[in-house]
Amino acid sequence: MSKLIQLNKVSRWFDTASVRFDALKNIDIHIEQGSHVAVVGKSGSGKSTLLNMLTGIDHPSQGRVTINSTDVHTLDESKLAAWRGRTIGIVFQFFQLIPTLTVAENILLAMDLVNTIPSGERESRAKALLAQVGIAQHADKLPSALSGGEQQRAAIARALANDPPILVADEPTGNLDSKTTKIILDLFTELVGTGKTVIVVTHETVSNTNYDRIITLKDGSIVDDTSVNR
Amino acid sequence: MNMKIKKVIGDLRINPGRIVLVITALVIGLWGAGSILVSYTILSRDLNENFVRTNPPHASITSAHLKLLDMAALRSRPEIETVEFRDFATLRIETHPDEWIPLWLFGVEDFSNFELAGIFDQDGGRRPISPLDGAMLVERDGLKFSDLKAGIPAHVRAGGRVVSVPVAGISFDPAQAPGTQDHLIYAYVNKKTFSEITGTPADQRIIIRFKNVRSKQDVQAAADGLVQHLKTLGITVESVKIPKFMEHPHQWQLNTLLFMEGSIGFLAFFLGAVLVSQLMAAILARQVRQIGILKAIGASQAQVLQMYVAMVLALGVISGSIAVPLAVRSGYSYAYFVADILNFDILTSSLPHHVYLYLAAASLLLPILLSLPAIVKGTRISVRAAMSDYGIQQETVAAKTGIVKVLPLSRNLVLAFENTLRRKKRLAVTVAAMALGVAIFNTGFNVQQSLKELLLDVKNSMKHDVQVVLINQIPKEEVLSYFSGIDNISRIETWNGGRGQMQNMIVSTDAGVGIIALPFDSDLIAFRSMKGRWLGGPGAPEIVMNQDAAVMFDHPTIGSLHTLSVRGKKLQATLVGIVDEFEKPKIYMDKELYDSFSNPDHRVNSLMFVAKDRSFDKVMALQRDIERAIGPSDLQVLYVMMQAERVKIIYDHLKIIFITVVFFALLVLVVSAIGMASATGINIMERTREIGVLRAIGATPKTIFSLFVAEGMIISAISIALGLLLSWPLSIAAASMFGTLMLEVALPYSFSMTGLVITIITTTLFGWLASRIPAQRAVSVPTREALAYE
Repeated sequence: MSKLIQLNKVSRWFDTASVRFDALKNIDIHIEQGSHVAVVGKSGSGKSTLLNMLTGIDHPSQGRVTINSTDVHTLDESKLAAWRGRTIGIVFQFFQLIPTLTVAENILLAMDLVNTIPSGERESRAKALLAQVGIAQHADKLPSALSGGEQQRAAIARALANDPPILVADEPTGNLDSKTTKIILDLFTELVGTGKTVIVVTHETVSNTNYDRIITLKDGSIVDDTSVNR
Repeated sequence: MNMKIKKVIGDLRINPGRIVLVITALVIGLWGAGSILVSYTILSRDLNENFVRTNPPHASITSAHLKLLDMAALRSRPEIETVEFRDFATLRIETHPDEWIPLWLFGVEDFSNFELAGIFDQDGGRRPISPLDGAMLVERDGLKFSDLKAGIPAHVRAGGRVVSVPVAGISFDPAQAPGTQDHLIYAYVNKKTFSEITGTPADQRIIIRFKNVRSKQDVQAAADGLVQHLKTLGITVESVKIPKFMEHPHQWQLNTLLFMEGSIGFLAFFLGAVLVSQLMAAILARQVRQIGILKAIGASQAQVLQMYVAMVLALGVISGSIAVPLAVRSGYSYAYFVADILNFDILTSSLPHHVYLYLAAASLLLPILLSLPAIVKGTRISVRAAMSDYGIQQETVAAKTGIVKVLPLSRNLVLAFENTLRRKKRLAVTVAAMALGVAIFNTGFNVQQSLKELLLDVKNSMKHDVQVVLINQIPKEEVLSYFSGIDNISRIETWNGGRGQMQNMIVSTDAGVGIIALPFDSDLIAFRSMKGRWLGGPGAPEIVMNQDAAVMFDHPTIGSLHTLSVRGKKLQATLVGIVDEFEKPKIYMDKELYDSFSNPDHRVNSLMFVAKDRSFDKVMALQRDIERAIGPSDLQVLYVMMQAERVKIIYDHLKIIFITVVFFALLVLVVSAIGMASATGINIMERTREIGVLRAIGATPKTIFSLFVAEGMIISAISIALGLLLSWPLSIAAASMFGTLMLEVALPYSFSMTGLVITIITTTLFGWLASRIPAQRAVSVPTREALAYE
């Protein structure tokens, strides 16, 4: 499989008034297309900073980030937004749906912003995505009317709106009960089955039954990188 | 519908209270500034338009020999545009039983064919009806303060006679000063009736418009030439009157109002602008996380920018559609209010297109321009920063103020102080806007106080109770004999000479300024000296001018020598002083000096009565007694006026300015108070989570409530202190500007204690309301929801 994501010698530090805080130290990660990767670590381990590198939300202080043949660290904010919309779907811990739009409209908004899906196909695609994540019946409801698990599924549908090859999820089950957590993780596995690359960042202990690869971070460095053979 | 638009609509609907506040602020700002723009547009055109459409004369010439004129030949002279007879006499008319005021009676050459000094019917549309012989038209402004009306006879006192003259109709003369303000009636009769009422022949006064004149100096030169020409025809000119060049007599009032409107309108606009930008910054502050989400799901900065610009545009459209019709309506209402007071018609039936363009631009573009910095700043935020935004940053919370800590304040108050200082930039903008509002509000009262003190000066400068001014000069003993039977008279001082604006045609210098000849040591006069001193001794060849005369004579220096001419007799006198007097141009001189060159028989034409009992009712009774004594006599009286009435006339001139000053100052205060309310509301809203934390650790709603109200009070207190400080130089400047506009001299700065109290109470009340309402809402949020607030 080709290397979809390549982080070469990536470091990220933050200068405070008195000291320099190293959030990531000389990280090398290569991820192949269709992988299902978990990035785990405790609070302060650097996993959120790594997620920011993967999504172009933040730039490295040093090193290169190449995703889908694009040198992400060279893009300006405007190009990054367009690139991100096409390439990466992000799922947040607190779902972060737009509260004033219905579930279907949240998905349509993502398509309207990126404008890669023909406008005539957007509504049907939104419905199809909601059906794919199992909440088609809630399409016309506001997010506040949905349970946490349903909102997270809506957020996954939104992340898939522009058919990005990569899905990045930040603590996607941190706010969910165990039953709902299983549903969400199964959904990610299904998406990997369709060819998507799914990267889940979490502080929780993960089961190797769900992932192809588990990267463990500690104090900004990779302390373990385990591939699971299936 | 496009989801971006739908999101904009959704965002507008999610917090209706905030949106109502923004729209209210925008509507008030636009309404205020729009009203001012509309009324300014109307008023700046219409008074002059009214004046000009009368085709006002450039000059009038009075002579007993004008009958000799060949009018056709005069009209054919190259410098003459047009000329007509328009006789004039100052009589008295009974406005209510036993109440007589001056009547300016005009003898019109031909009601059906006049070209100059046009008068109109009551509605201002057409020429007035032509009154029959023996009847007169009364100018409409006179109806506001008299019993006069069409169809009833009016009593006119001409010399010693009382003539009954039917009022044939009501006319409108927009070129005259409003009768209500000058306390006089204007009436118009034909030549025959003029002679019958006045007992003098007609055709003794012509009004003229010259060709190719562009200034008063041009008119003066043309008039001088004409006088010389008339001399060659054997016509001796008694007086030449040249009014201000092509300017309504009360243009100064309108100029003052327009100046006030312009300056306060600008400030209201500025405050509104600050308010809008602050509110937009607050809305965006709330949207930071959503901006992060939008960017995270692929929105570019331009797309986010478009969405928030669309949001502001929507607010502008809603506000504009409410405010613009209101502004047009209230602008017209205010213009009608001013027009009614100044007695002119509103001629602008439809506003120029550019006014609507400005209003639309102000409604739509202004909110965008003002919020653009906040929008750009908000939308430029990186996804990482946006996603980790939790409102107030940790480091600003940690800010401490040493002074507060050492003050003996309760823990709650210290916390309130520190919270107030957390968002220093917003605090600075809020306090600056509120302080400006306070400063303008207080300046309004201080300027009003300056005007009141001017009135007090007027009252104190003349210490008589009733003044009787005669048309003719009469021996002192003879005139005093008429009033010998009246009880409540302490003494009567007799003066001579000119008698101010209404009389300076009868006794005047060549420049048309009134001369008052009075005992140099009269204790009935006490003007505030502006330069030099008062008259020094009996018979000394000295004069003192009031400031209007000084302006008329181009600010002569103290010690300069002047030639006065009264009825062809000349006198040289030294200018020794200039006094402050809210009157038309006057020159004061010692009566002995006046008598020595112009009045060898020691006649008098002014009687200054001082009452024994000076209470208002007794002085009123004295005035009635004086009128009764005059009634059967053959005295030709120009007017009988109580000192209180004289002050009232001046008050009536200033009243409109009083009202407008306070109205506009209040408008500015309201706009700034809304700004403060919104800023306080934003502060409280942003701290909803903090409220949850405070409640979770045991703070009662009452404690939290008092904390926020204390913060509002602190902002009010700082704003009041700064505003009052700022109002000091502002009041000095405003009094100076108003004085210069109205009196050609700067008014002294005055401090209004009433204004101070009202300012403090009003601002504190606004501050209390501005913090109480959002605080009430904040504490009503359940702790659980408050803690979950983002």
